[in-house]
Amino acid sequence: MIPFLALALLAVAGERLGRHVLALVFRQRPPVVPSLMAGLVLFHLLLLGAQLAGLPWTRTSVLLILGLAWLAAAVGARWVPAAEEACPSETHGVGWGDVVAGVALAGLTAAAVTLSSVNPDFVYHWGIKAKRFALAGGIDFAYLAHPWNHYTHPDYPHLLTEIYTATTLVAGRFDEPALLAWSAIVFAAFLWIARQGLRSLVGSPFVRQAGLAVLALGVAAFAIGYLQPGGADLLIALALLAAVRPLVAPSAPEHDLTVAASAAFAAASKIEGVPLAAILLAVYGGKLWRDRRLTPGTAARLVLPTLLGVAPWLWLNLRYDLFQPTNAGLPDWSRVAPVARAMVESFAKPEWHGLSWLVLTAPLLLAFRAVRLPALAVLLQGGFYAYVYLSAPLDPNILVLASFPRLLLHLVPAVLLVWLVLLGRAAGRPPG
Amino acid sequence: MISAGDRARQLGRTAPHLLLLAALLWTGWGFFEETADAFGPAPPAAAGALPSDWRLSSPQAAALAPFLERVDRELPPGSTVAVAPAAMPDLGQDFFLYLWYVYHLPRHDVLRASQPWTWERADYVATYRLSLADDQAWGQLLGRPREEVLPLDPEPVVGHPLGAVYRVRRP
Repeated sequence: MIPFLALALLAVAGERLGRHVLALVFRQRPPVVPSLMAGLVLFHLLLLGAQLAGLPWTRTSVLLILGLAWLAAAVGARWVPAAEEACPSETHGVGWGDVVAGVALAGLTAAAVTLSSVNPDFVYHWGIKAKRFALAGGIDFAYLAHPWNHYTHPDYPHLLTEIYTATTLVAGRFDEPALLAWSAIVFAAFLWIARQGLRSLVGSPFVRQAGLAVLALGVAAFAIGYLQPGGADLLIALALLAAVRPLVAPSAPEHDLTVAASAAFAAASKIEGVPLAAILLAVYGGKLWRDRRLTPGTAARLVLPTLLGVAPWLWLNLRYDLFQPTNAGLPDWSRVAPVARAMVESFAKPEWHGLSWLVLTAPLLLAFRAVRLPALAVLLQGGFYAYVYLSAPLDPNILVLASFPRLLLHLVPAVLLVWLVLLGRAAGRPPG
Repeated sequence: MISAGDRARQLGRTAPHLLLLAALLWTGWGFFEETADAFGPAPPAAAGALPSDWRLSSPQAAALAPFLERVDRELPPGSTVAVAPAAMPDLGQDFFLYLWYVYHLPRHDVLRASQPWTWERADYVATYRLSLADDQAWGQLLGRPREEVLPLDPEPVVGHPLGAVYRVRRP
């Protein structure tokens, strides 16, 4: 029970911290999901800051860091004059699609906390690092730098590992069900942001409800069947999904904070999130520029959260020589055929139940002006994966089959949401 | 009388609903299938015999955990432990087994017995289903006779039906 209380405490405190800081920076009252993403990024930065300042992570120091930051942000937010309501109402009425989404969430939560569906990487590196960091009282750079520990992906950003470490320290023990319940929280945030997106972009109540249900059931089926709880891919999926509404809706200041939080969250979650953050910021920045809203102040508020996470990550990886030689290179065109074959095999993974093929329709979406920007973001991120597969000096078949089915999880929900927006428009009622 | 244009418009508005209804049934079935698989009866023990197939809930992983948790507690913190498994049927499986050892031995530095850098650092060897009498397996694993690494008749520091931990012999 105590580990689950620790998890709840950290999640609520993280969301509150993010809410106050976003309100301070953006002069808006932020919605819950961007607040959670921003809060977790801030927590990750505060823990790193504490370590660099020589303060070891313990139960007391973790709670103190979070508590003081929360207090400072709450006091600061009170002084912000006339914070605007970014999201007037987040609750609305509950529809049948919400109930179905709740069932999908319950299924994923049960599969995670009973250890019926656990990502192998939770054992192979996220969990190993979290145990190690909890014992070391911080990121154990000496351990990560050993060449024989390359399998722990020492160059990955540490947000997820730190969340597990902090939960372990606050709970007093490494409790697998409680740590896996973080995936349920991320999936709940994922469903909430999808619901908000559908409510604001789709007029037809049926398309809203059915769309949410399809998204929830399709993603939960894959996440449970392909053992996603405990891994970081749901975090990246959340970040890209959250950016769809800001990229589709008419330009407004309320969307800036969502994109800023999404990009920073992606960059801190996994190495693939770093290019995703750059893509989201560039595409959204282009939209602001087109709409003559790109002032130096707006640009700084958008980019700074990501930079604050990426700069120390880059510096520490270079300092401890953590980047892996398999990360990059020039494309080898002789790999095109085996990579393509393995990609087709990945699309056809039975756990996707066919939903993955939707990603191949992303180029079609460019033809629709209203959804061109999220489609562009998906294509650029997909293109980055193709580049990695063509350039990494590893067996292309093994590399693609071991990773691409779950990397599709980053892209499929965003493409599906975009199609739902188009379907909603075809169904005839404009969003109200 | 409904004109052809009106009919086309009506169909255009109905089609998304029908498409979504079909998608709902399809994804609902997928969700049911995956959930039923996740909570259904465990696969036969042979299906999870390879360490790459082990999960936290697998019987093999569950059987290994108490042994390694004891090892983690009983060895001096910060020890370097070499993992020595019996010969595996499939290439690379010793690596996945090794990762389970690392997961359960967080207080220690865990290395693979087959790596060249291991023997200048290792304090202990932790075996997995590897008998001391199996000279051939030890020779293949270490690339040298076992006696160069372990005493002739070593006493286990920790013993368990799945494996044992021995102190490494220092020159």
